[in-house]
Amino acid sequence: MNGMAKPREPDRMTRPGTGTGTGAFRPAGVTVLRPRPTISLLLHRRSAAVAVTLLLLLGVAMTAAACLGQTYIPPAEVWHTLRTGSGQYDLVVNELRVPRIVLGALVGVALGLAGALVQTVTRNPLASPDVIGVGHGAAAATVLALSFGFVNSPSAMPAVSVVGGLAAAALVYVLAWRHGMQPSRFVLTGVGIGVALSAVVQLYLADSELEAAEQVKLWLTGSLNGRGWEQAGPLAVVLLLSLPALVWAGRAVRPLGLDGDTAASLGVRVDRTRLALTVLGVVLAATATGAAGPIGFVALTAPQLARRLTRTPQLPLVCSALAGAVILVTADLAARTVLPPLEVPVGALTSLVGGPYLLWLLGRNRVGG
Amino acid sequence: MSVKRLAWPAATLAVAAAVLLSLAVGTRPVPLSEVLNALLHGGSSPDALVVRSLRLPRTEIGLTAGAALGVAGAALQAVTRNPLADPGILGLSQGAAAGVVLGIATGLANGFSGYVWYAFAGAVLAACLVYGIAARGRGGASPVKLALAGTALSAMTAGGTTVVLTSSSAALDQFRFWQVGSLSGRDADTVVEMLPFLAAGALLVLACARGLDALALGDETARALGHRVGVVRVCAALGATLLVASAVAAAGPIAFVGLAVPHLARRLTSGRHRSLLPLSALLGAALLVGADVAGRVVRAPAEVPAGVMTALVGVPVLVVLVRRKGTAV
Amino acid sequence: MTVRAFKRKAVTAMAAVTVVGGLLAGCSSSTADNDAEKTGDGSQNKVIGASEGPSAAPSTLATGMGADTDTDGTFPRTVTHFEGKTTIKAKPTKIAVLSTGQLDDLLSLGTVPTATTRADNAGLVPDYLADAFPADKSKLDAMTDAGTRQAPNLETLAAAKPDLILANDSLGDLYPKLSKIAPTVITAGNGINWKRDLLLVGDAIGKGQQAQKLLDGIVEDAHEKGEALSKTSVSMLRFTPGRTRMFGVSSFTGSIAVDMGLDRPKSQQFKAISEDIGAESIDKADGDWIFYSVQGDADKTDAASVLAGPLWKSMSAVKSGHAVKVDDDPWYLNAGPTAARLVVLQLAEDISK
Repeated sequence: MNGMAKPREPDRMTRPGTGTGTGAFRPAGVTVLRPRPTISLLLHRRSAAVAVTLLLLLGVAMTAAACLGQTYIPPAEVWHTLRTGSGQYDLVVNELRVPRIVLGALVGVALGLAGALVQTVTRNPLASPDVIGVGHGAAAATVLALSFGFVNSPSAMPAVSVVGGLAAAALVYVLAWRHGMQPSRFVLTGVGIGVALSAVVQLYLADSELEAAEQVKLWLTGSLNGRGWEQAGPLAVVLLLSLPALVWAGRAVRPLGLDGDTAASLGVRVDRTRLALTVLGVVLAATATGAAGPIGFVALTAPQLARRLTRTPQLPLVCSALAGAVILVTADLAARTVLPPLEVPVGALTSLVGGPYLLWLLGRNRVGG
Repeated sequence: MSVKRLAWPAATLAVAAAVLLSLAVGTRPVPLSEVLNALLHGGSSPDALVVRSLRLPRTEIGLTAGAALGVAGAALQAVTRNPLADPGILGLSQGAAAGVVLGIATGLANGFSGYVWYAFAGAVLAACLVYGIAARGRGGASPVKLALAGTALSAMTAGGTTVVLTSSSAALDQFRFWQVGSLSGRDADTVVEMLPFLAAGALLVLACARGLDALALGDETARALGHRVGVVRVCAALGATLLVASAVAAAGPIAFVGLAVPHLARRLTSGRHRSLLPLSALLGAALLVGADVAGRVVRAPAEVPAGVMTALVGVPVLVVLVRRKGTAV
Repeated sequence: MTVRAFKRKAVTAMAAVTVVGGLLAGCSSSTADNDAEKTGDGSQNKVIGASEGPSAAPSTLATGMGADTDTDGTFPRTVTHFEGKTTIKAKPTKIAVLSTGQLDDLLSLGTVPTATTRADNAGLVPDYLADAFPADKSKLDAMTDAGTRQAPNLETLAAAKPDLILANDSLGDLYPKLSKIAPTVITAGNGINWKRDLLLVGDAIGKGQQAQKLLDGIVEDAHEKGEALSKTSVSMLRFTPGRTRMFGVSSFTGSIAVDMGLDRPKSQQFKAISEDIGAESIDKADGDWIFYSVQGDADKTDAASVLAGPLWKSMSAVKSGHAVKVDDDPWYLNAGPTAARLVVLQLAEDISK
């Protein structure tokens, strides 16, 4: 019981100014005095409200993305085209916009989940899968595979990048392991391996002929241009298959928000749970990277945003997933429309927005560990 | 003790070996006798021209930039009291590089003497931003926070550059040229232009050497010993930033020299900065020149930029450091 | 430090070094791969039919490719190309070209496309094409800008309502989407394939015979102009920011030198399309003549230091004033018949001076 309240304390200490605002939703003392079921209910009620709001936002973002672009298509027309599968907008809506939007939402969901899982494991809100090497690993593997001719077209990239992402994360995990897993060591090792892997990418890019190199570079920044059902399918399958694991994870992450000793005293085999959650998060992130290239900062910002909204001590999985989808769908809409007719790689936009957010988080001192 | 007595000759030897290799090894096979002949007597044979007009300048730039980064790394580690401080990790190099790219893109900067001011402005801005943000709040500027702030800044710069380049690809050429740290193709008189900046930076840092020693004991003790902690920090950081800026303006962003070198130097000598700083300069010079030589060999006839090579050498050092028990991460 | 602690540290360090070392070892071995066959960048860069050694540009369509009819102007026709078969029902009037060289192909065949993409560092229409087709200026200005070559904007493309899309293999991934917008023909891409790409483009727009005639004319012209020249070796160099490359026999300009019967320096008789050359061995690229181009602004990249360096000035071609700076676009970027004519003309004029 006391454990549940503990992680909130720093929250209050670092943000004295917002204390009353928080109190309005969570009366002082409730979390400490009331028995557990009440708390869960309280938390769930707010989380549910946030989830519904995010779902609505996602609906708005997806509708906007379906309507806006080279030509504006009224929502009614979009709906009609979707239902009948014909009409003058059939090509633009059903072939170009909708598959891309759905893929964007799925990638966002996967990244949001992956971010929440990895951040919980490392107890560091700044450690997202891209920080621990998944994106860099995927990039390096792709460039190496193309360079050695293991794959002969960019369409084989997804499989390669999934393997690369997993391998890089495993390498980081092994190198950071020493008498157990210390989260901040994990993060620093990840940052280092990330730098080494991007050096490898540069090594190989320097050798490719220009046109192909440009193609790879575009992929390396992350883009949804020209992608759709072929990429969304496998990602959806992976997400569905990981659903049972995610349900388990939803329960398992709670005690992990506590410090190691408290969690251990609660009877959780901390290291094993951490490993399982990390593997799950990395698989999700790597699959998303395979589908759209390494899109930075979504996995980092989505869980933080969700947590700020739900005000739960743990990272809420469902809300993180939804927040990820909202962020990515919106960013991709911007990527298609800010500099017409140019397509800005969506990964560049998320980095541009996510970088300052990370700095701001650092300034707010949300660092655990 | 014997190790420490050997440190200076060993470091000098390492620099000499790196210089010799840098003059003798390259995509063009030049016999050693020719190299010596070219250095001593000049001559206008193609071999002699290569040695004197290409290898000598890049070796000089490697020596000076490497020394600058080594000293800057040692100073930054002392100032932040953080074993993982490095101009690259802290985002200083990227900040300086972004400054240079901005200067090029706006057409205001040309050549080293133009670049260096933009590099300096960029590095100072990055240093303030990263340190200012990381030092706020609970726990102060911990290694993790500094590293993440540096990473965030680098990612932001990269994202912004991509957007700019997508809309106007005219700046692409110059940017590519600057993106990775490299010693090749820089102007021969760059070194001469670099010297005043390097000297100023080195003097600033060296003047603080005793203060930096005291900082290691903690701010309270340092104050008790009569040091003005704030002044020491600002002076040393300013000197280090000046060194980083001139190194970046000359050679582009080069990571990890400033990280690995001071640790090695600390092993070889006492912790006193009066000897630590010069030794870091020697080792930094040897490392960067060595990395440049390796970059010429691994993918010949193409050249790998020295910045890529130092990252590949530096990361294992980082991993070992992070795993070390004493490292407060 | 205890012995155990030291051992542990050593093991970690070794593990880390092994990882990095492995990556480096990978690097060096890949160079050999690239030499044998330019598979380095995936299929799009393979010189088709050139893996056996240096070869000139293949002058016929790849086996089984092209249209099912030999008569110009008959439609419908089915064209077999690098991503499958495409049926084109009627003579295309609104064509979109997405890849390098294809704009040159179309203009040379007397057709102005409706939409195109832009290359890096370049406008929508390369200067040399704008100069060569002044009569088409208004039509060229009216072309739809469909974004960059690497990431064409598909919605803009769809809005232009093309009735034929041309792209090369580097955009092969987009083929499913493109073919939903309009019938799409995928060419091989890369300079060395310029002749067979021209023929395939010709087949796609119902001008296969015309394309063949155009090609024969260029080859014959190149042969005649080459015969008139004394025996010389021409070196081909391209400076891009941070890199310098020599172009071999199996490149676009290299194939033109073959057609003209010009010799190449020994250093440029390799199998790959191009090979890197370091600043310190730039004199390896010496020949009777050097035709070099600089991408972007020479003053602001390392090309400047090479070109101003004593080694460059010591080369025999440079000393005798035989180093010619050429336009990067037709020589080393766009490969098409108009570019080929320009290259032939410049080679002939300069060398006969």
